[in-house]
Amino acid sequence: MSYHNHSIRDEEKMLKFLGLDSIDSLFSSIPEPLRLKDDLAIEGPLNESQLVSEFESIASDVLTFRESFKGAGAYNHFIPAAVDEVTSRQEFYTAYTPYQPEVSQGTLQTIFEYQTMMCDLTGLDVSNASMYDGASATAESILMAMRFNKRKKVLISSGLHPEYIETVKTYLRNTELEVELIPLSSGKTSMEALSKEDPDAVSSVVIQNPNFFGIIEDFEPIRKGFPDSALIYVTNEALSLSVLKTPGEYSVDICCGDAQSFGIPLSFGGPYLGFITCTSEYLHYIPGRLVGATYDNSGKRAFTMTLSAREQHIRRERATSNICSNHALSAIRATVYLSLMGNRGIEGAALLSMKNSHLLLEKLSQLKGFSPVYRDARFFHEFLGRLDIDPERFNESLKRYRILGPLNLERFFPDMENLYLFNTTEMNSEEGMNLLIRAIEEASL
Amino acid sequence: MAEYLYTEDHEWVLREENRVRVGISDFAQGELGDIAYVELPEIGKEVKKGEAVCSIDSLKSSSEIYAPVSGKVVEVNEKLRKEENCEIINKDPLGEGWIFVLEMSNPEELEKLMSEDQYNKMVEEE
Repeated sequence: MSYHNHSIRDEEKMLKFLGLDSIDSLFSSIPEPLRLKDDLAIEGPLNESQLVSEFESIASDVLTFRESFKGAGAYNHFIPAAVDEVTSRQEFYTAYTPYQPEVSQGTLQTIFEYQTMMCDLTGLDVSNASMYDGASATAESILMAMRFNKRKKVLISSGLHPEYIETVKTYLRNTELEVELIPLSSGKTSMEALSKEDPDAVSSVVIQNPNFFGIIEDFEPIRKGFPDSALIYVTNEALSLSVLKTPGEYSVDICCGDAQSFGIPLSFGGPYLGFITCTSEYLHYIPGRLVGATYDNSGKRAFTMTLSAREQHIRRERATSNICSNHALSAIRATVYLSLMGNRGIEGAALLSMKNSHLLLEKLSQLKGFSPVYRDARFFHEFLGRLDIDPERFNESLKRYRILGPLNLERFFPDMENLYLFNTTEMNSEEGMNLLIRAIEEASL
Repeated sequence: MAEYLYTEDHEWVLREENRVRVGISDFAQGELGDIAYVELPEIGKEVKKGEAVCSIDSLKSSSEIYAPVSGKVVEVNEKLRKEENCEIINKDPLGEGWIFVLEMSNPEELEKLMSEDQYNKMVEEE
């Protein structure tokens, strides 16, 4: 990607144009005590080779893990090297939908292909060009349902990722929507609790699959119980769509979530890739951008933004949402990843992820300090277990073996201090599992 | 014979006893271009004269349809629910392309509307 620095003369020209006398005066709106007065405490200047060794020495102090058993919405899948190569091409390297998009036919085509693949994977008719992340996509889907059926009550399964629940509550704080959390029973959304609701009052029912605890939910009875409400299928493990029954087969109305698993690396929580797909009935209620295929004036196939009249730049305060771009770079990564992996590739990665976690559960079950929590539940590649261990000793051992351990759920649920969420992907090995087991044994009480 | 009355916002009105049928003028459909979608109002919705009743989208714009008179929505053009049918507004804006029917709560409001001649004159002057 090309990068042009500006010269001192450029700066002077710009300041003169703005009628300012220094760069500092650009920051005059920042309160004085918050402004940085000294230079950063960095030694230097260094020449290039010194700089490289300096960074190498810093990098060698950073703990990198050989394997991860932490998931909970962020999954360590294999990314073919070509994903970086293709997406870092200058023509693709943009964070957003380009302005005057029709000039960038290549970008529009990748978005169109992305939409097509997301529709195929979810079994639904329409996909938008992508969203920020799974949590905001979930909140937008709930608003979409509200616009469609004008009802005011949302039922959210407690199996939805706790951070998604938090985001949804923030999003809906100033709307008329009333949120009710549905408890779990044996790890799945409680049908008994759902059956007490009046279906005619419910705008949407929001169920994550596999749910936060890794368990596969039953959609059929929920669909039957709420025939006229929007059934929203949330997933933060998009790879599972390749092997589980599709949301379309369950007759859900909206599917949304995060597709980080499609070629997007784990990096301090972002950037991720939110997605929304829906049935054609909901087409005019979907937020964000849509790319369509058409023909240009010489009859050649071309790509274009479509149904823009839903959006903020045209519909203003009546727009379907204030989303007016997409997560273009992440969507391109997903498009390249899916094209390279193909159906068989993603199915293979999904099945191997699943197989590994079932193998890990089997191994853990032989340990004295471990007990599974939901014995009979069907799970995808994540499961809940109780560990009777000393957490500090556990962390020391994990660090020594360079293993990123399972997620202690106390972080989200204060009453779950001994409960851990274990995840494996196709990147885990039996050797890594054995190291994890050794760390548990060393920390056993 | 019933005659078309017009608003300054380019809606037409056709009186049917205590009801009025409402659509957009031929000039308005020409200005909007290909109609892609109509967000129809709910039956039973009560509106005051001048309030937005529903909206109509062309490929590049979205416009609101305002109530020419006060009343209650009693009928909508069900054909317009299908996007492929929306072109009837372009083809026959004053006939097949009607949008909704209002039951008037204050028929005297009709007196404030323009005749076809007055409306055409307004459009020419614009």
